Amino acid sequence: MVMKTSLWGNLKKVYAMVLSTSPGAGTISLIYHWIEGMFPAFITWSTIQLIDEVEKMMTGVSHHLWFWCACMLGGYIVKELGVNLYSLFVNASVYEKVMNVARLRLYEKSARLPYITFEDSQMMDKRQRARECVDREKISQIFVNTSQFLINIISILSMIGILASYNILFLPISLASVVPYLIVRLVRGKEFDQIRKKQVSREWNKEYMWKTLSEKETQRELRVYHAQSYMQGKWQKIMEEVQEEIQTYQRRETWQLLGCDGLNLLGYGISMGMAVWLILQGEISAGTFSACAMAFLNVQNQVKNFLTDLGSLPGDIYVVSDYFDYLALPEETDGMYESSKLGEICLEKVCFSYPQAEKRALDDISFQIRRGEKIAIVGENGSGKTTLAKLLLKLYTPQTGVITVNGRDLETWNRESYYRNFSVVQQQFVPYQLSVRENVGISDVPHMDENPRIQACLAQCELEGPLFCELDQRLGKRLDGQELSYGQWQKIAIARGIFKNSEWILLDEPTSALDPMTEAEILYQFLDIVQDKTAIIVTHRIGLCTRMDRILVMQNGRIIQDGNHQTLMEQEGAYRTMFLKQGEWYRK
Amino acid sequence: MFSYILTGMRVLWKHARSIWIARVLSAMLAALMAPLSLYLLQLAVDEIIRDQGRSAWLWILLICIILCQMVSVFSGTLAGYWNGCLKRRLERNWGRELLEGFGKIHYAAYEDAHVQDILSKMRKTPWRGLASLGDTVIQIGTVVVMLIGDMLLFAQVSWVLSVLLAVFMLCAGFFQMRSMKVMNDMFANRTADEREMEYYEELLSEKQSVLELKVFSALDYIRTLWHKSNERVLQSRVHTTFSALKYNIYSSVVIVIWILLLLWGLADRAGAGTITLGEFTALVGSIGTLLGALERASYLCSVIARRSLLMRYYEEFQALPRSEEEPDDRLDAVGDDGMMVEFQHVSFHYPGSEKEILKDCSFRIRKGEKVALVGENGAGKSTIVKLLCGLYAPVCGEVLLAGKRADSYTPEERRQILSVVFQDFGRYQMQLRENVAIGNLSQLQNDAAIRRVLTAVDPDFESWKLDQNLGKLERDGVDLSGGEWQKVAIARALVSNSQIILLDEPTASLDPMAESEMYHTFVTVLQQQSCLMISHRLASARMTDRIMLIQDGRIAEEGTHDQLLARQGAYAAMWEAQSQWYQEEVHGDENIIMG
Repeated sequence: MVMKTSLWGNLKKVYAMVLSTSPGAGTISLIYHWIEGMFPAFITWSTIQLIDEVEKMMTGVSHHLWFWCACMLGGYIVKELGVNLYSLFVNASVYEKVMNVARLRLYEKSARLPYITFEDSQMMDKRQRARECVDREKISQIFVNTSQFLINIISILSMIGILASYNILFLPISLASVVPYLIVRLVRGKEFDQIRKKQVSREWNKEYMWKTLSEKETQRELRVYHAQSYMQGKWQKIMEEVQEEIQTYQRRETWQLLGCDGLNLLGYGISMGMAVWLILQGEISAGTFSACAMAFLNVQNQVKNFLTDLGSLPGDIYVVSDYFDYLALPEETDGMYESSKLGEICLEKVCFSYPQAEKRALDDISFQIRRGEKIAIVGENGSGKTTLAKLLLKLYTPQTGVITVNGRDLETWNRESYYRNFSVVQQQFVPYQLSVRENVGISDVPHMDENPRIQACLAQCELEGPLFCELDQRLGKRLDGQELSYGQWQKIAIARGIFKNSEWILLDEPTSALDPMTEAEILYQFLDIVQDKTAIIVTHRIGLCTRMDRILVMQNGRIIQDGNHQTLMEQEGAYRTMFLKQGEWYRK
Repeated sequence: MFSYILTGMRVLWKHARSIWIARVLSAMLAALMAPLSLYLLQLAVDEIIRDQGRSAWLWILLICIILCQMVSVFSGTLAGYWNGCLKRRLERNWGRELLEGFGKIHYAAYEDAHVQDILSKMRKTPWRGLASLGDTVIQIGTVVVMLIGDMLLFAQVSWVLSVLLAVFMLCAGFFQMRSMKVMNDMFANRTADEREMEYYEELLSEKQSVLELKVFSALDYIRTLWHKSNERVLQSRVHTTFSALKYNIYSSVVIVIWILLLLWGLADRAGAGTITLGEFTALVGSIGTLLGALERASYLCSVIARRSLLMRYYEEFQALPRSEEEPDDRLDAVGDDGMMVEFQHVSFHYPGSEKEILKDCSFRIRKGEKVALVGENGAGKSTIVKLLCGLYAPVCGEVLLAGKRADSYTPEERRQILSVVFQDFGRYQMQLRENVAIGNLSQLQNDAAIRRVLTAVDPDFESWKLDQNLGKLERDGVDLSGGEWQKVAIARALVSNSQIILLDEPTASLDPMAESEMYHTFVTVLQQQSCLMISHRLASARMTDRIMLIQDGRIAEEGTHDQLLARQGAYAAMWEAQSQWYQEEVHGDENIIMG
């Protein structure tokens, strides 16, 4: 029952969207469908008239032959005209325009959702499905398919009507011959779903094996370890198992379908037999007989198509429901308070966990950062450093506890105003496949055209050379620009961070392996940048901490130590152990 | 294009012969049924007119019509079944051929970007594409058969009508095909604007970029860029749709003219009495089915070019160079038996590239010696690994393992001498046991040996079940962290009990703490083997017997850590850069450090 209401609800939404985006095209396509639905019946009827005229002509005189020919021709002209207009409107408007709007709404929505959504796997799945819905043009398809129903229904009914007008018995017989299809479809449908579910995971396994074996890294390893045949054997085995199952299922399904076909043939046979009998009784003409012979087949095909489409409709609507649900998700809220200076940030007993996670990512965190301080946050992977950084950037909301900035709850701050004071250099920086100017200037779009300022930032990050003089040169090979090395991308990310002249800056150290010279350069650049700012550096290089004012040591989501390098070395705690351990190989 | 279709047919013939023949025959038979039914109808109508249907002949004709329908319907259902069988048979036979191909292609091909393209097409379950191509060919064939049948039908009335039929159908079909092709091309090709648009969409929906764009308040900027691209894309697509329409209109005009001429011709003959009622009926009845078939055929012709592309990739795949099975047993270069590894004046550049990665590079590693190889990114460290593994042969010079040329070993022999932990080692979504035993498949069932190497790398593995599935593929699969995978990869190299171990950046995915622990592990675990450790974390160099620094394609500096520091060369500079962060306190608070 729940499915039914959402079926209707979503159907209504689809129609609402199409008709509001292209009302003209939508209406025309509906009108056209009515006309096209009547067409087979019209052709049947005019065929009967035409053949009857010819019969009359052979036994006597007829003056109307040309008229009926013209009639039939007229019918075809109208149809061809209709088809062309329809395809124009449908393709251009219903598909292109509507899917364009659908896509736009999807991406606008994505950027307005709370940042935490990225960590929620259910939400991400939903988004993926909504995206598929757009990529596969499902919304337009449903509009067109349900309109096709109209065609099918109208044409089936009108055809049967014409037939029945010649003899009422045709009515039940035509209908009876298609009932078997309905039955088989229902029965088969359920079984098919069950088997499909079981097979999906095996299929993945098989496809995974196939894909892996064709990859460069795998091939390299397998050749060195001489393990090719083992992996090939695995694929073979899974493939044979999966195939066996599908084969059995398909064989059974085919027998059922053949049985169904048999029943339909029976219905066809009876109808034809009846037609012959009628014509022998002289109750119908030869024309009617011929038209009937062709019409029966037509009706059967139409009903078959109708049932197939009906069968796949719930599945398609289910896909579309993901799209509409996604659009209906709650967006992030914003506060009203604005200020141009951040004096201090205070965390009080802040706790935070990720959605669907059991463990707390941050547990009872309390500390203060004052303007002008340079703080390092250190800890092992998984200790909560990056999570803390995201909370400081107003991307996540604590579950308990409160973050106050300038004495006011961070939740009440206006996002844009808060961000005006903050800049960031991320661990996983973004290599923008845009121009040099945009790569640096995107942190402060209103000032992106100030060339001297951009060049100064590039110079400070030691990005020199002809490549960086041409500011409108595109970077990155994805859109056919100039590709940079990893180290260069990293430096541009830093240039971006400093281009925005904010008082506060958050730096997250890259963990990827850079060679020692580049790494040292980058770390020095970090230190350089933070000179006249309030800085929070997230790092695992304890060695860097010696240059910071204050160090927060994190472990398992808690802050276990807080102080400067001297103090922490005197305490016999985790910090000291980490410093000694990391540095042990580097001492003389 | 035709040659690709032929290749496809050849593959179908080779790997799925019986099913393919069944499909073709039944399809052709079914195709004949439509014109045949019309012919029978024609006879029936004439019979009715002539005899008032007293004879049994009418009933016989009726039964024949029903039989025709039966053949057609059953054939359709069976076609679906056979298609499934065809795909499976292709997967089984052709898939095996392709897999073997993957294994035999020269490794150099894998690193070539163009080949990557070919491989990615082959990777996407190609049998589905081939079955679809075969299906398309068959369906086009059925339309041709049907057309010929109808032409015969027309010919009994007048050969003029018959020829007209063929001419007009081909003409209309041609236009319809052009129209569909225009639309298909639009869908298949991505213009630069569309790629840009996709990129902006990604920026607006990926975690990392949204973070930056939010903090920089730059979301609107990207949105504006998206809108601009979008406008252009939409315009060009609507434009294409209109130009497709033009062809549709031509086709419609041709069809209408044909119907006009046909009806005129028929009416004329009816008036003159040169045509029977049955013939009239059959010909008029054929219009509907012909138009339907025409549309179908045009669609198929418009997609066949795209579907046959797969075969082009297959042809290129077959043309890729394969490596020879037999090891080269020419006279081996003379090498010192006491040396496990020797590079003698090796020069190397990748095939297709002019840049020399190694220039007259020479070094040796003794039995049981542990050597570190350091250098900047791109200096040639990974290339040396590939040469030692026999994946490439040196352009000049010799690469020797245990006195013999590296590429003169059979794969099995080489595995016993050398094992490698690659930087991008495989994380196989299989059991823990399998992940480790890939290094030495003879130990696959030897629980004790597998556990021994695992616990040697990390005692925590003691509690792990060896049959535990790793990775998210199976429902009970466990995802390992980067560090844990790294340890499994090291265990993989250890289980092979080889004489030489190569470690290529073994601590890349570990944080500094875990990295430090890993170095301790190496010291204990690598007792008798020779070891070549490649890293640019110079800490790794401290635990080796000797360090080599590679620069400009050759070994520029060589010696122990202290010797190299004394030289004050490139190594010393790198060392300074990395170690300076930890030296600060030594001067200030010596007593604390010593504590």
